[in-house]
Amino acid sequence: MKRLLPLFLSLFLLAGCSGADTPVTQQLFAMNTTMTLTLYGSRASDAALSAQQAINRLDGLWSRTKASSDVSRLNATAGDPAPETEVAPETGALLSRARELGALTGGALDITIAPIMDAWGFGTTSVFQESDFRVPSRTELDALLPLVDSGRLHVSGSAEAPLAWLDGPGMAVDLGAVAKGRAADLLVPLLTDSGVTSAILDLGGNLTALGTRPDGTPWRIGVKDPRNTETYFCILSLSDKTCSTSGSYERKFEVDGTTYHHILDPATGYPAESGLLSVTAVSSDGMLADGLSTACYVMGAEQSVRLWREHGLEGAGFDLVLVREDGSVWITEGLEDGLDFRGEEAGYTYEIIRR
Amino acid sequence: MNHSVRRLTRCAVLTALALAISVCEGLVPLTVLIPLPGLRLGLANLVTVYALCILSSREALAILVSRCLLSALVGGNLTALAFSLTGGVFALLTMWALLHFRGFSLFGVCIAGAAAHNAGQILAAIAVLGSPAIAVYLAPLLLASVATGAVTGAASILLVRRIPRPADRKS
Amino acid sequence: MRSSAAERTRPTFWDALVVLAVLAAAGSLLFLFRPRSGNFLTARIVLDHELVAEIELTALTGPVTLEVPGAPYPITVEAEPGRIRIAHSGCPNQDCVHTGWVSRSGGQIVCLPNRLVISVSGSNAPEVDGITG
Repeated sequence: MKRLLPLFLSLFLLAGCSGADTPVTQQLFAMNTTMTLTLYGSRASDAALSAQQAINRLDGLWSRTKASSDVSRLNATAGDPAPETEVAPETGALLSRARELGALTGGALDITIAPIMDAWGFGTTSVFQESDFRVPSRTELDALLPLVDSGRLHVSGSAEAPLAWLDGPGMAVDLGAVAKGRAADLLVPLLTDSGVTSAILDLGGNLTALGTRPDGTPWRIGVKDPRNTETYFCILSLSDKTCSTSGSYERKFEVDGTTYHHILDPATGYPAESGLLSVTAVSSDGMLADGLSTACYVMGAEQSVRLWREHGLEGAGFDLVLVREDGSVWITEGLEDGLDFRGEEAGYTYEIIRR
Repeated sequence: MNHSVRRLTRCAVLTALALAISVCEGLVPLTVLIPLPGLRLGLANLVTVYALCILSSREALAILVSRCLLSALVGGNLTALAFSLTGGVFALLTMWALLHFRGFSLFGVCIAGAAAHNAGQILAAIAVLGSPAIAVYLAPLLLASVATGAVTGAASILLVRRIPRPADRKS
Repeated sequence: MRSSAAERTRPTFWDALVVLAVLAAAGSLLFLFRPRSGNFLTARIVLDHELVAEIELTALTGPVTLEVPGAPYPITVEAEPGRIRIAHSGCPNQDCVHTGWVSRSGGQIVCLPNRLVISVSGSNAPEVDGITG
C-alpha cells in the first residue's frame, strides 16, 4: 500500500546508523554460502568489517576450492614421501579438534571423507551442478573407504606453527562439516572486543546467538521444518549459543526414483539412513555444534541420545533437537527452558529427553 | 404525451445525467489524497437513489445498467464494467431494501448504499483476480463509505425535496 | 416508490445503526487482516549487495515478471499476490529455481552463482530472530 512505502523507505535510512537498538546488517558470500551478520553495539559497523575480513581469511585457509588454501595444500601432498605441510594455527587447531570429535562420535564425523564426497559429486566445485551428482558403484566406494580414516591425519608441531599431513595417497580432508561453527567461535571474541554485545551470526544456516536481544530477553531461534522448509516447527530461546542443523533436505538429487542426500556415512560411503529428518545441535562451542549435527545425523536418534547422556555436560556441553522420520521430535532437556513448540499443526510431536 | 414514452425519455435523461456525473467524478480522483483503489464520492448513486424514491425500482435498475454499460463503452474499459456493475447492483439492492423500511432517512440509505457498492466492487475484484489479497482494502473503503454516503445522503435529500415531482407520479 | 425515507430531512436512529453496522464490519475486517507475518509482505531482491527491486507482494493484483538486470546468468523472477519465486535461471545448479514459491516472512531464495538473494519480510517485527536449518 502506498502509504506504507515511505515508511519502508525511511527504514533504509535507519539501516545506516548503528546504536543500541538499531543493528548493522552485513551480508557476504563465503564458504560456499550466504552469510548475514546482524550486530548491535556502538562500533558495530567497524565490527562488521573486521568480521567480514576474518571470515574471508578463514575461507581462504579452509576452502577446498582455493588451490592456495591450507586444506588444498594439505590434500595435494597426501601420501607424499615428505608430506608435512605448514598450516596456520587456526587450521592446526581445527584439524586436531575435528579429529577428537571424530573419535568421540565413533567415526560418525570424519573430515577425511572427502574422497567419497567427490565420488558422489558433493565436493569439489564451488557451485554444485546437478550434472555433477552421480551414484558411485559399490566397488568404487569399497576402493575409497580405506582412505577415510582420521587416524591417518596427523598434526604436530607447536600450536603457533603446526604441521599437518595425510599419510596415504588419495586421502583428502574436507572441513565443510566444522568450518562454519569454528568460524563463529573465532568471530565471537573479535566482535565482543569491538563492543558488540548482541548479535545474530547466520553463517549459511549455522546460527550463533551472541548475548541476548538488546532488550535483555534471549534470542528466539526457529528450527526449520524439514518437511516444509519455508517454516519452522519450534522456537528455541538461546543466549551465547550456536545452533547447527544437518538435514537430508539440504542438498540431494534423484536418480531412477531414489533420492540421495549429501550427509554421507563414513562407514558405508552411502548417504546415512538413520531414521532422522534433521538434527540440530546447540552449544556454546560452535565447532562442536557444527560437527555434532553431522555426526548425530549419521548416528541416529538412539545413539545420539546415548552420546548426549555420556558427554552432554562435558566442557562447553551440548543439546540436541532430533527430528525423526515418524514425526516425533526428541529435545534434550537443556533446551526445555523457553522452548516454544509449534509443530503440532504440521504433524510433529515432541518429548523432552532427560538424563 | 404518451405514458411510456415519457417514462422512456425520463430514464434516458437520467441515464445521461448519471453517466456525466460519473465521468466528471472520475476527473477529480480522490485517490490522490487517499490511496484506496476504487475510492470515489459515489455521486452517480444520487441518480439511483432519486430513481428509487421517485420512480420505480425497475426504472432505477434500467438506468443503472445502462449507465454502467455506456460508461464502460465510452471509457473503453470493459473490465471496469464488472466492478461498476457489481458495485452498482449491490448498492441498488441495499438501498431498495432500506427504503422499504420506515425507520431510515436518506442518510442511512446512502451510507448503506456506498458501503454495499464498495463491497460489491471488492468481491468482483477478488473474482477477477482470483486472489483474496485485495480484500485488505475493504476495511478502509468501508470507513470512507460512511463519509461519502453521508455526503450523497445530504445531496439526495435536497434533490428529492426540491426537484418537482413528475406529473404522473404524485406521491 | 413512495417511502417515508424520502420525506425526512434529519438522520434517524436507524441511520445511526447503519453507520455502526458499517463501522463494525470495517472493524472486524481490520481485525481479520491485522498485520501478521504475511499480511504486508515485501520481497527485496538484492544482487551482489545492491538492492535492485523491492516488491510489495500483498499489494500486487496480478502476476509480475521481472528480469533481473545485470545478473551474470540470466534470471527471471515471478511475483504473485503474496508470493515470489525464481521462474527461470541460467545458473548451473538451479537450486534457486527448485526453491519454488516463497510466501512467508523470513523466507529467502538464494542464487549463489548470481550472488542474488531474494528475502521476504513482513511489516511487523518477525517472531524469530533467525532460523537454523
